[in-house]
Amino acid sequence: MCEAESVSLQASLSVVGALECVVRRCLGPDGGSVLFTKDTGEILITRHGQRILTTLHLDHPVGRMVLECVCAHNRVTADGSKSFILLLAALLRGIHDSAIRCHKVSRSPATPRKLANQLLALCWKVLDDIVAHDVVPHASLLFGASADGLDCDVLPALVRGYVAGRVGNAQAEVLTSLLCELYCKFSQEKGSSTAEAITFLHSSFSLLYAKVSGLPFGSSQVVEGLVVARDWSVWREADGPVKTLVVWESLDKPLIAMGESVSICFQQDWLLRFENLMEEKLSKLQSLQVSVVLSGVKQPECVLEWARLNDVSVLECCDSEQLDLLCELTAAEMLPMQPLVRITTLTSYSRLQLGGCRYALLGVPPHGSLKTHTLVFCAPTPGQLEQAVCVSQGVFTMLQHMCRSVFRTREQSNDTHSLSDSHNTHQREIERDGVSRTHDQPHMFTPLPDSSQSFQSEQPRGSIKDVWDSILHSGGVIPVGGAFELLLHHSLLHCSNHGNSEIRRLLAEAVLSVPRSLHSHRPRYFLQQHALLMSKLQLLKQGHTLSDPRSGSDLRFDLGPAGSGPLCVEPICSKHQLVASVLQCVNRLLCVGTIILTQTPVHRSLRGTSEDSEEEDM
Amino acid sequence: MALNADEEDFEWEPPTEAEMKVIQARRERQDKISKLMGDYLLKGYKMLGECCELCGTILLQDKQKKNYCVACQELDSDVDKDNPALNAQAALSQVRERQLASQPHPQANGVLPTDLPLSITGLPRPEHCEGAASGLRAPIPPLQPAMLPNTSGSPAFVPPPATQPATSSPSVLPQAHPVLAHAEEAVLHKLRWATQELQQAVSVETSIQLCSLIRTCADSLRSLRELQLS
Repeated sequence: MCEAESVSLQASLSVVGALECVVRRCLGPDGGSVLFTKDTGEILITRHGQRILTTLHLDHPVGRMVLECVCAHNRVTADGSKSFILLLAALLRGIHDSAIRCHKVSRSPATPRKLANQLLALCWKVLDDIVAHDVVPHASLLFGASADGLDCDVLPALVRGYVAGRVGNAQAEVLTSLLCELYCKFSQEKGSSTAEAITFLHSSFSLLYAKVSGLPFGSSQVVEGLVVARDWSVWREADGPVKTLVVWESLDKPLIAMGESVSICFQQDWLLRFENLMEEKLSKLQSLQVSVVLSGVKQPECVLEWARLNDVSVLECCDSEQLDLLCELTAAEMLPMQPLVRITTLTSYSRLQLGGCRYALLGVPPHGSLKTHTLVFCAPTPGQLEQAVCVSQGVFTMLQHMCRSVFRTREQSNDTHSLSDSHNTHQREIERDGVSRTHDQPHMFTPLPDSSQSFQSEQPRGSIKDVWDSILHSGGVIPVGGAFELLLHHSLLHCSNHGNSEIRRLLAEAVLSVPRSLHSHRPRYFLQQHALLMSKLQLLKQGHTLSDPRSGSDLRFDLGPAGSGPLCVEPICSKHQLVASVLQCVNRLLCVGTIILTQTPVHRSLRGTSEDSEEEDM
Repeated sequence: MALNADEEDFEWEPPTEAEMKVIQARRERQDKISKLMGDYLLKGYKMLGECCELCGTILLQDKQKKNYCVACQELDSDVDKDNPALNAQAALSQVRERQLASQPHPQANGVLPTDLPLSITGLPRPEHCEGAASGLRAPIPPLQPAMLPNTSGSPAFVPPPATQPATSSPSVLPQAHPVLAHAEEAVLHKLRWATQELQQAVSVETSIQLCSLIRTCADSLRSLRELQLS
């Protein structure tokens, strides 16, 4: 092994090994949390992988590179930061051992860089096929009796799977039901075949929640309308739809229309003139018959006085982004010659008492198929509030990523199937003639299980219940707890027609490190599930159909006591993306030739800013 | 970028026993270092971009801007403590164990008088030194223990059983301080004994240990002489 090339491997191994020791203890629902104490005395308790990694002081360039990769991956899937580090560490160790071994055995030494390139080639050329043909078809057989012909509720299972590892058990159930309720209330149409609600919730979630500190978590609720974290300055109760004025600046500013020139001159009666101007303006507003004024800034006292006299309610100092969202949802109109004022209609407005504070609740008319609701988080401490908000944002990012991937796959497979439809029909006829089903040649004929074929046949008839049903039937989800890793491990070791066997073995061994760490407190259970899965796959391979999924023990990778608890699933595309991201990160790390120390200051721009990411969005 | 896809399958042979041990030992060491580093990172230490000059491990920096190498300062010192070639105390423990194992139990009259002999520093010796001391004393004819007050500068754990009067001391030193003379006498006696044992020693390990004892005695003598001259 050339010394120069192994510098980066040694450095990467040390750094990633240390990070692995940090995050390994926080993995999964049984993992612990890290308590950080700042010099100012503030405490941060978290088990969120990215948060932990960004809080550590990492000045090593390799450490910063790894952190960038983790942040980029997290922006896309909002999942798998800790698994990223574990998988990365296992891969680097595997490459190290492999390079040492090959150096002694063969004449052309497999340097770490070469192995990393081969791994990347595997990622680009082969991984998609393996996941699509060997993992996805078998995902459905892991649901066991609870699937009931694959009719289980996918959305709660997905949300529960995400949330369970991130908040405490008591909070997990409450949060799951809250988020599902928010989604259901948002998407009015039952059985929508698009994921419009998910996209909207993902992009606007930061404006659709309110935080209340000091109440128990169970008091959290979903309220209809938009909650603004301010109290009314001038309040007058009224019912029914009301005309609303939305302003982004103070009303006593001279409103100069575009294109007019301004002349400044001193007048002795300026104050009187100014007051006259204000009166004119306010009477104009009165003529518009507005009952509510929503302002992004503080309005002068004369405006408030006018409002009190004329039965107008005023809400000041609103978040301007929330006002923008409101205008977008209600299709507000612009007033002529006044760019910073909009006029719109609200269905209702009221005062809301939450905890010790009063908030304003604005009723928003439906926007297309979306009905606006706000999620009110209650928690005893601000830290738990932050955690709940962060997890909820992550849920919608994860769902958004999944819907996008599934729809993209559906479009691609539609194109493929429309071209090869006749070929497939012919194949199916041959099979019905009694030739035993073969699963050993996936690239000739995709042996999708019956449910997936029924999806294909159902689609022209349009009888899919909704988007979640289509996701479930197309094999987009898999039970949590290591099922994906086991299937991928099996596929990599047993598919003989893709790529280099040494590289596949390396990746297969590394992939198992994640579920092993997850189940480190009960290794026997993990081995049992592994063995059960292998035996089921063996049966399938030999041509037996698993006719009765209720027979025997269900293959469920529950992280609680075996067999108990509701079903938790995770999207296959997130796991797939994780493996791809890690392979790209490994390549990036091992392509480093030399590390040169400079004395320039470190630019810490890792928190929240959008950076160029080299990770391709698969 | 150039994809160096190597098409030939490598013939993978399992590693040999020796290789496995080496790999295992290295991996364990690396795991220990990683765990220590992880713990320090969580405590607020900063991971620097530099490596230690001695061992190549990544350096950590604490809040007082002091650099710290986990391998050199924590890992290796654990190992050195038990290495007889580097630590005289460990050498003595090994010698005592060997002698207790090879020779019969010392006779009753060979046992020391009841009051605990003091070490050179005047404090009662800790138990492990006591054991080593008794092991060393066993073959020697019992002598009265020397009650020596504090003598600075002597690093040896060697007990001073000899109480021969200063006049029989072979060294030609000014008798300015009887304490120092006694100490020197004791050390010389031990040196003589060690030389005798060395001539009879059969195993390499014993020889190494006795040589280190001799070296320690020589160092003590040098310190004592410096003290006398100063």
